[in-house]
Amino acid sequence: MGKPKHYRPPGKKKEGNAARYVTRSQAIKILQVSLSDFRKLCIHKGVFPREPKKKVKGNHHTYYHLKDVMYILHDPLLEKFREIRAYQKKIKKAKAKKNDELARLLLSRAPSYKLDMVIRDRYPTFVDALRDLDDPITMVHLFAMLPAIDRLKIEAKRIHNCRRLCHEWQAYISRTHKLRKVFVAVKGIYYQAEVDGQKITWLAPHARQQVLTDDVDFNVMLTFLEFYEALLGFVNFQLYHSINVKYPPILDPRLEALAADLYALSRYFDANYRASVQEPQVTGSSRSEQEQEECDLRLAQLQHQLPANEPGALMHLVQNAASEIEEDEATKDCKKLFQNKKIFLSREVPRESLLFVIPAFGGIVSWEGDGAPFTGADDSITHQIVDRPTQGHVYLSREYVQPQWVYDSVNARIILPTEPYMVGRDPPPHLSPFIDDEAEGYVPDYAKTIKQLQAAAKTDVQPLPGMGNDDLDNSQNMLAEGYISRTEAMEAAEKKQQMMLLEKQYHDDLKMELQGVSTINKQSSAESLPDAQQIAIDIEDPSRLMMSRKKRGLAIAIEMGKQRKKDQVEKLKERKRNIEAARKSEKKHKKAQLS
Amino acid sequence: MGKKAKTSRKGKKAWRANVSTEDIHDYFEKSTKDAFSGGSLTSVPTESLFFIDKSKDLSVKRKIEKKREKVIRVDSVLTKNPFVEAVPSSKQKNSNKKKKAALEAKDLVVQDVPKDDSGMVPIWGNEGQHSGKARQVSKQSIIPAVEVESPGCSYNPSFESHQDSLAQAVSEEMQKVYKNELGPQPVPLTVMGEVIDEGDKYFMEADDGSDDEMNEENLSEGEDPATEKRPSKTRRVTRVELNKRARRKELQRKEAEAKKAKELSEDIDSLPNILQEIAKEDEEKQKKHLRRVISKQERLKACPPRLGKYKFQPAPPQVLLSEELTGSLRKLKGCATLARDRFKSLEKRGLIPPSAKSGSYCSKESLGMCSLEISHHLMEKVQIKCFILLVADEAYLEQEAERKIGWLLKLIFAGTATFVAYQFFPYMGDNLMHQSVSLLYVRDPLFKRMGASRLARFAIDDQRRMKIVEIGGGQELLNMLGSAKDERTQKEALKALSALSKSDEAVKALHSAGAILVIKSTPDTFEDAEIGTYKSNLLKRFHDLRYDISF
Repeated sequence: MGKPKHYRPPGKKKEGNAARYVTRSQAIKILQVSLSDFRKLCIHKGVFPREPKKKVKGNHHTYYHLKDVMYILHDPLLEKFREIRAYQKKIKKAKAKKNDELARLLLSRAPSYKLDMVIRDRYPTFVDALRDLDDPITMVHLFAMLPAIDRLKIEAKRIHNCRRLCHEWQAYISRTHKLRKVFVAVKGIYYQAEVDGQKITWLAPHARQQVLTDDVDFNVMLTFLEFYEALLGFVNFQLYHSINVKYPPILDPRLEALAADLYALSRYFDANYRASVQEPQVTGSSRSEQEQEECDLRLAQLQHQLPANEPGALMHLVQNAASEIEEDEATKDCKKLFQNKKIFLSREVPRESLLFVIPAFGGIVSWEGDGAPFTGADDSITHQIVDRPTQGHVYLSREYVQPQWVYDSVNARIILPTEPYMVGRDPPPHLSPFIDDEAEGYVPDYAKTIKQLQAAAKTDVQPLPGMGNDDLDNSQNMLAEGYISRTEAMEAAEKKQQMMLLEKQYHDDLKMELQGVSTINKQSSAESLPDAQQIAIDIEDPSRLMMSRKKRGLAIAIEMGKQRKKDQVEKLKERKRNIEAARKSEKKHKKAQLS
Repeated sequence: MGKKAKTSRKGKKAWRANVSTEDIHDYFEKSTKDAFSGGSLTSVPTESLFFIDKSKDLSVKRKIEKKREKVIRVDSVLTKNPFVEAVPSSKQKNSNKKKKAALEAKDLVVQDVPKDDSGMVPIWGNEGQHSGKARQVSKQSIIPAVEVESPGCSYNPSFESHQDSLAQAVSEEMQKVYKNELGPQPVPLTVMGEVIDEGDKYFMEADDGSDDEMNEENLSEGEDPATEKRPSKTRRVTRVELNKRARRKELQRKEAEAKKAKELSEDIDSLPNILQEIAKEDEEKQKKHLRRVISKQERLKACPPRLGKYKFQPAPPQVLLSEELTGSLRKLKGCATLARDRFKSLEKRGLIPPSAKSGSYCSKESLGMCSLEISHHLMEKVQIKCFILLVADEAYLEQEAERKIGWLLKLIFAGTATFVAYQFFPYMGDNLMHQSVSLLYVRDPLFKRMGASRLARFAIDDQRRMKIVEIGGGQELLNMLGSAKDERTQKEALKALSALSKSDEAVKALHSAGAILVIKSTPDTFEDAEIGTYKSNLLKRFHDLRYDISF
């Protein structure tokens, strides 16, 4: 039996898209608020326009789901907004009647709203909030760099708040060594941190004046910012409490005045940590032991409870425990990177970024200026970061490197040799750590060098003679080897690499052949019957059988994308091979000419 | 009977008669009654008036109890049966209320938590969780909030990745330029012709109307004689004729049947073919569906669905030009429009519908952006693409694009090239020529080169060559040659000039423009032999046509 058909008054109640979606003006009519209030409500409540399959009112409208509109309608925020609007009218009236005293009185008692319930509603767990933190942090970092302009209603107070929030965030990340990747791009500096297993990526602008173009609607931006400020405040609160630090941190006013907020925060952390975390730290080891015991006990219990044919769950449990330890190792790695390094920043390097990054990897850092922990004349400084064509006065005890050295070292997780980053040299390319070379297939030269260095650092074995290794070897070695022997070594390495390539290609070919045979088989079977092909595909990938048509299409699309990527990588490799071959022949030619 | 004598009413007697003594009478009566019944009750204490009857009258009690135990049918019907569940009139509302109450209780709990100095409250509790039911929010977009730029956008990129990113940026810009250039002309806002008076309009309309009427009349007049001439009498059908008709009909029917049978047998014979066709169709359909799914996915990755009146316009990627590559953070010219970047990201993820303002800057600034974005060593690439689009040589395009920018861009280019070629080749002519000449006016050498190379390609016959010269292309080319600073520009100018010089009249015009001096003053170079050949060719042409080339 189908649905009973009811009488519907004309133009009142419909079914399908007409009933499910409303245009913006309809939504405003339902909610009985002004457009600006509606936009604010939408942003705060996380209600965004949708694209219905059938646009009943036409293509030029913005549609909202009726459920979303109802969701706003039942929020107390809506009532609050109306109240505020009514109150604004009162103030306006008082001002119009030149009743200044009343206006002042009213202004001082103006109602305001809080977003905590909205945040709790949108992010029921803390992890949810962390998952969505990319945009808030980026926005707050951006507004921390913007100029305060009255015309656009960007107040100085809010900008200060943004600065405070992002310093607090950076201080937490730096303190807990959660930073993982840094990439200096033209737009700004991309950071990636890992908090509670959530990867959070954000973009901090370079320390330069930002231009406010008129194509940006700052009302919208400020509303988003308002929500994000509140969210980041709560997140910071939670994070600080998780490491037993009181949240609104009380900073040394002297350091704050010197705009060294980050350092002030780290000092605050130190003080608080020593006071309150001493005990938990002591018990930390015993607690882990306890946990281990508990874990064992639970495992034993579970083994009894689980049926014999379900080992998967148990494996999962063990893996979970393992991953926790692994995460700890990652942070440990990060903590140890710049250990025992005392780094001093010159005037011209980006101070904020480096002050954030170096302590995040366990280094001690200072800068030129008042309030710095140690001065530039300190003998124990191991590295000085400079970014100028020449360095006049040089201490022999320290190395002078460009800021890129810090970022590259951080991305590679090893202390890179400082030679290529010395003052006045063109540093090697700054590679993006966000590109997975293995997945992409194409590995740039410098990435290969870094990989070899990493392998060397891990195994403590002398690195193989490779492409870029020679400039990383000790100078003594280089002298001993001499120029000619080095070129020979290089050629040998090249040969070796080519051999490897050929071998790999051969293996690939073999594999391809194997696959090709199988595909030919399939084709022959496919010709006999149109259905056979489908069956063959199904046999090849039984999971595909279970998928819906849409999903199957997607799966095929993904495969195609992979294939495309592979092709491109092949192309790049071939190009490189060609270039190398050309270079080689040229070299030989030159040699022949010389001799 | 005599009248009673009127007495005075003011006397004492009259006054006494008018006073009532009722209350006094009442009191006396009461007091006498009390006295008879044994004293006034008001003065007696309460205890003596009432007493509690403690004696038990069981029979009466039983009677009362019995009365009470008995349930009236009316009440018994209304009592709740424990085995039958009650049907609530509106369950939802009830449960809602409960939830609300629970929520309020929870809020109270939250508020009970001791507050910090800032008035902040751990909204997620200590374990980072609160047990409230979350609203299922559908993920709006698969685009991440912060997209990390490609490695070529690094402040100190490796050469290859930088080239890739640059090529991508340039190709995007050029696509915009070509779309502008080669797109159909907008409908003109004004139409040529004279303005018609209001009065004239009426006259015109009146004229039209009368014409129509006249036509109709004419038509009706024309029809009338035809109907009159039609023979009114119908001829009689003879038996022979009827027979003939019947036979004919039978034959036709038989033929049709035979045909049908034949078709059917043919169909049966070709059954495998039909099956194959159907299979093929199905396959086509599936492929089409697949293509659609893929393209939709790709589209969603790059831009949001259409959410409002305006289309989303992506912001250009931020790549350093090769001159700006310094390798030093200090000298880095960072992006200063990050606010726009964020705003675009909001639009891209579909959080806000794109606005007209944010899309418009693209078209306004595109040319400026273009000249900004293009670096010198990329010019050749761009020029090649320019040529591709004009000549629509697809094979060449594929090869070139593959070599330079890879697979994806190749696809885009192939698409645009064919699109552009099909749409605009018929119109390729004056319009494009004008545009190419106007390209020469631009100060940027790249655009000059583009214009020149296009002119060289247009100059295929005498008519077009003359046309170019008439528009002022010859003069501009000479100016370009004179002011060119690098060899490539010179080369392009010379190439275009030599293409023009194939027609005698054009040579004449060039001569009058002082071409020989300019050409001769062009420095010879050893690096590019072509410049030399072009130069000598041109001078030879002038010489052939007996112009004096010895200045």
